[in-house]
Amino acid sequence: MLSEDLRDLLLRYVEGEPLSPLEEKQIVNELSTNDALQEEYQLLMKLAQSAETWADEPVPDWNRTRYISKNRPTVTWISWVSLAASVVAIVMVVFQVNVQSTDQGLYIAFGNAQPEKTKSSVSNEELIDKKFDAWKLQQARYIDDRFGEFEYQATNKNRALVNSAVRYVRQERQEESRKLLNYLQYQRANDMQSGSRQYRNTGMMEWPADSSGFSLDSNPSQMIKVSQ
Amino acid sequence: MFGFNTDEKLIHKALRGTESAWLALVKRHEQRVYNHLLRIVGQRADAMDLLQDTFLAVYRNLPNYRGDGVFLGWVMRIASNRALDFLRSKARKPEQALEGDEQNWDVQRSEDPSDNLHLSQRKKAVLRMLQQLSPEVRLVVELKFFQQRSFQEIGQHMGIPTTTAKTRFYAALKNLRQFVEVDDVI
Repeated sequence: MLSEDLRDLLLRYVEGEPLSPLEEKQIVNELSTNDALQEEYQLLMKLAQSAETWADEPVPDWNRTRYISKNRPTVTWISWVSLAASVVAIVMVVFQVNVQSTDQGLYIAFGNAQPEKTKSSVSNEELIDKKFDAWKLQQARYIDDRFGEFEYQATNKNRALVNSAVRYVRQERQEESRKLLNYLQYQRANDMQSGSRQYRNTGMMEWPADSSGFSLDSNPSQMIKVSQ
Repeated sequence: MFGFNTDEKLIHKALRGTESAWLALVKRHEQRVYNHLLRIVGQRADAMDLLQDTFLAVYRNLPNYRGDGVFLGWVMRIASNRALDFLRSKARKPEQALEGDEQNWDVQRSEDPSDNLHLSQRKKAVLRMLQQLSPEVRLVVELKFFQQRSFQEIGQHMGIPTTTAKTRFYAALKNLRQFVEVDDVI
């Protein structure tokens, strides 16, 4: 019966592990004297040789990716495009990229740099300024005209309003004067009639006719006929 | 170096949906995994099915791969577990494993046909020898000799204590000694 230590030492010897001189001397001695150990040594050597001479079998062809596309999410190109667009936008904001189209072509500037002014661009700016000034003047005139027209119309409206008010007051005053006059005439006619009756009852002479010619027997429409 | 993608890079790309990265990753490791499975199950068709099953499981669990170990080791662990589950469920007998698959063990390592024949016969002998062992013990022998793992690594790979791995290994030697005595296959 072999001891476990001796078997372990034999295995290490067969596997080619470095042994101390003492261990190597021990295993060599044991192998020359111990038949059971010698037998196990032969078996281990055969197994080790079998492993060494094993020729790997080639793998038959098989579908190695048949389960990939169904299970694993893939990164689509559009996500890369959106990522690139985002990066470009961020860079343009951070570096204050200024893109201008001029007569000389496309102008790209970083930071607050401005394109150099050329003759044509200067003349264009002057022309634009002149046109803009003329347009401002035209607008100012137009606005002044509109204001003048508005004032004129407002004045006319006020005047008409005042005239109509005066006319109304005047009509009202005339109406009141007419009513007062009628009332006075009516009172006077009543007084004359009552005076005449008293005079007849007392046997005196007939009441003299009104010098104005007014009589209750006469046409009543005279009472309200007032000159306008 | 330039143009060389490490496993970590390929995993990262594969996780982002790059099909070519996954393809490169599979092609890099499939042969070792396939031969590992072949030595455990002993039949090409089963090894091929388990290979596909293994890489499907790897792909599905790729987001959970923490990268704290060698990627191939992780794949091999998955493959071993699949193979053991397969053998337990099938409860195959050793003789059945090689039936129908014996006629085509051609190897092309040498120009000399006699050498190829010799290697082919040795491969058959190795597979026949491994089929004598129970699946768990077979896996220990496979990891010890064909993957050159230490007992500690074998224990970690199989999720068993180091002493259990060692016990299984010496039990395998005992079985194999009897097998070799009966039929000197290797």
